[in-house]
Amino acid sequence: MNRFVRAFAIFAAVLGISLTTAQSASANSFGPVFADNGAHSFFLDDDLSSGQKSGMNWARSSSLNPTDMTTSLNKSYNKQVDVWAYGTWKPTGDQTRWYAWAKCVKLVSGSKTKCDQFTIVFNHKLPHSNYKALACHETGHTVGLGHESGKNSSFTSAARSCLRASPDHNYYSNHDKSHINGRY
Amino acid sequence: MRKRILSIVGAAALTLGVTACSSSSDTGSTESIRATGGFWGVHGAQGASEADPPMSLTAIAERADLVVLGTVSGAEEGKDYTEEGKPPNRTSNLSIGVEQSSDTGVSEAVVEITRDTATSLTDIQANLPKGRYVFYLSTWYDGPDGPVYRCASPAKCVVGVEEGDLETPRDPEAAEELQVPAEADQEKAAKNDSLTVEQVYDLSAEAVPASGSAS
Repeated sequence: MNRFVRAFAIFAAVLGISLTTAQSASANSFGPVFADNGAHSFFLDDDLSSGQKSGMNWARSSSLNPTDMTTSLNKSYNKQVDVWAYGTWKPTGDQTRWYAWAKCVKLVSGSKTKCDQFTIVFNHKLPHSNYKALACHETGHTVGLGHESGKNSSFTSAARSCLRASPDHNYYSNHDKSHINGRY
Repeated sequence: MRKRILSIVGAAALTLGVTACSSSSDTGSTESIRATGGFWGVHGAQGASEADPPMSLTAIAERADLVVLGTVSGAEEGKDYTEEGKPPNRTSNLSIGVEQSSDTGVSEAVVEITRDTATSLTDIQANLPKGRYVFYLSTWYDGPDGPVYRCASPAKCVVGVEEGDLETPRDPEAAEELQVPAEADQEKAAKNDSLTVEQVYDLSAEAVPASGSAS
């Protein structure tokens, strides 16, 4: 028993130090606006290009679905859909420089942190070379994930994330997933 | 006694490790709440994927047609980009009271920035930010009262200095990756001073291309 206690203490100390070090290298903000629950429904508007639609389907089924969130795809729009993805040919001055953006357009009544509906808007005037990574990135914002700093090329596979500012990776990092799984 | 100390140390280390992420995310979340609330919050640039984001003050300035040091003196309704059947896509036209400008004779500049759909202009006008900032502006369109600019980089077009550190209120996390030119650091070290917003302006204004050559 005494040997067990000593072994556990040493193990815990090493693990704690490792976790602290690893996470300070790749920590990103989480929140302050989150999805309202762990079931995330999507509607993909007809004005998306085939590449954008394919990217969104990828993000939903292959990036987000493997986490503790459940996802679904609506065939038509209704006010209950959690993520409405569409395209625009009419970007504002800011938006001319964005490939895509995610915004909470409706908070849950009485809440400042839970979002009833997000939009993900793709800029038709600025095509992207990898819609899987871009859609993974924007979808991540709809569950509360913030940007990660640095370049994916300088991280190992588990630490690479589509939430880096120039998305070039199609998945969430283990750190991103731990945020998601911890909340939803 | 030694075993008890080891157990306590181990438990503490494990707790610290498990909560380090949530602590850093709580800190990040607190800053984000501060940032996404208020004036800059409703004109935020988080949640967007910017094409080829500039990674230094010099890089932002090289994309700008005009760099000014000033304060936000007013806000009016900007153009409405809403498309039929889609949520509102509105903008605010911010008036900047200019103290210093990379172009001579500029005392005021107007910049269009995207605004959250649910926020009314009245709320914005009652909560103008009080800080002094460097604004990096690109030409956008000719308005009835003069040129209306857009941000040279939406996330990093408004740069302030808070306690010696750069801040980018439209996207607070963007400041972490913004590099200050080496000359500024050397100057700081020589004077044993903190970075100032005037230094940010001086360094940036030097990098603005001659008229007509910025993109």
